[in-house]
Amino acid sequence: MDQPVETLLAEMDEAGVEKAIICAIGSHLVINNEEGNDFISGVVKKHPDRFLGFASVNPWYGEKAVEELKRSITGLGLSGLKLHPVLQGFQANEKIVFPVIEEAIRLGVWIYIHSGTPVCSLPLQILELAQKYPEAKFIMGHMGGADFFLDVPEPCAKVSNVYLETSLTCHPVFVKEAIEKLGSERVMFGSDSPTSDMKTEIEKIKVLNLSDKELNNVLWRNAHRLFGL
Amino acid sequence: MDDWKVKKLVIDAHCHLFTNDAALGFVSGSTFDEFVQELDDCGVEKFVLFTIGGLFRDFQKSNDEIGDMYRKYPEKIIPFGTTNPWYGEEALAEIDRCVNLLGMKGFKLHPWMMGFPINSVQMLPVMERISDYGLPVLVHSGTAPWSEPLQIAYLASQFPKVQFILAHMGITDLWKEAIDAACRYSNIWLETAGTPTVAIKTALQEVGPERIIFGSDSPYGGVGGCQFQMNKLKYLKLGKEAEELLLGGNLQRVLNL
Ligand SMILES: [Zn+2]
Repeated sequence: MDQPVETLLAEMDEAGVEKAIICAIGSHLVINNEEGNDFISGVVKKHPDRFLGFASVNPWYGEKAVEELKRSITGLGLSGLKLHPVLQGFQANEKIVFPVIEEAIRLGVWIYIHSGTPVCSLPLQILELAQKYPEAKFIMGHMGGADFFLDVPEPCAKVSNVYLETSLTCHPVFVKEAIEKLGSERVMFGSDSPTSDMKTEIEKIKVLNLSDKELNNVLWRNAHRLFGL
Repeated sequence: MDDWKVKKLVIDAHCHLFTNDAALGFVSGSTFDEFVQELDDCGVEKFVLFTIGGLFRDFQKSNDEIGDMYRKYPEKIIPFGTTNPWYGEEALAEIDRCVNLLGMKGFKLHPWMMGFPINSVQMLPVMERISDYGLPVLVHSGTAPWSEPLQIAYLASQFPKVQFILAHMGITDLWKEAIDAACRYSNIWLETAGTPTVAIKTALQEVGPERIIFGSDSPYGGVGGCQFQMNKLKYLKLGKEAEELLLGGNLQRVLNL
């Protein structure tokens, strides 16, 4: 799936999205991490007023992955770590990922993890990782996706280092219940563009009739607070 | 095929009846009256209604509840029954009762919630009976290990007279598989509740608008759920003809309305 920068910017403009966090997909996410991070960093540097970038490293590269994360944050100016256990081929809470998590803690950056896909990217596996590393800061992407929503609001409310991201969760009410359980300070709007699209994903938040405070938290204030966006 | 063009009905292919004991705290959803009002506001003229409770417990009782609602709103509701293949003869008798007594127009199956693999041998007599009545089935799809699109498609290949609607068309993880299934078998239809935009875009290209069907999964989405699922399609700017197919034309062909 290709998404030229111009297409993304046009989509943002149309949907009224001022800033976005971007990360690599395809081989850039899975195997060619250096190339992917260079690419993302290039886009961010070209449009610093519109984008922040998250780095991709595949934990299977071991020490190389740790070094690449360090390079991405301190050298390339990227702002966080994106992990995708399904595409990168590891179970979210297995040992292979620990060194990368520990490096993210040292660097003080947020870790975005895809969630909701059996067998290795499930909410409770991510929660397990978050409990093992209470100093790490996690964003659970898609908040359980379609079928694992039951594993999200209550369990995540029991820890303080997991935030939720709303893209692809398939019903508006899931977002509402997440806000009720975790508070609107820990739920963040995301679109997963180009898999979903920004207008549709914003619609999912808007139909909830949230209070102004909640709506602002979800749509921008949380990201602003966390990433200085 | 021409009929629907005259009627231009907007139909929602996927709605559940939440009862007090049966939402099971799964999600709060919205009440029946709330979501019927919302469907109305969204311009939905008819909707397919099936149980939620019957996916977990007594399916006969749950089918009766659908039958009751159908008698109350015969113009609005297109009733679908459910049956649990684990119950053997009883499951088959329930199909008969659904069709002959309650007037059901199709069946909903939810393998992982109901606790059976869609590819199990128990499914064969069930499908044979449904095939005898010439009715469609709407099957939850997209969840491993029992509700995967190609598993459902394999069953569809064995029952070519039955129209299989893949509810959620593979949802977030298996939509590519759902599209492959629809490309291979002409009796597979793709229903859009909960599926991401890119899945629908890809299906439009690879399968075509003739076999994609709008559904909202109401009242699962809570207040605003139907509006969200419908606007997801409208934002795609499908064009008038494709939009009419997705929003009701295709389902009228499946149901022979
Ligand atoms: Zn449903």
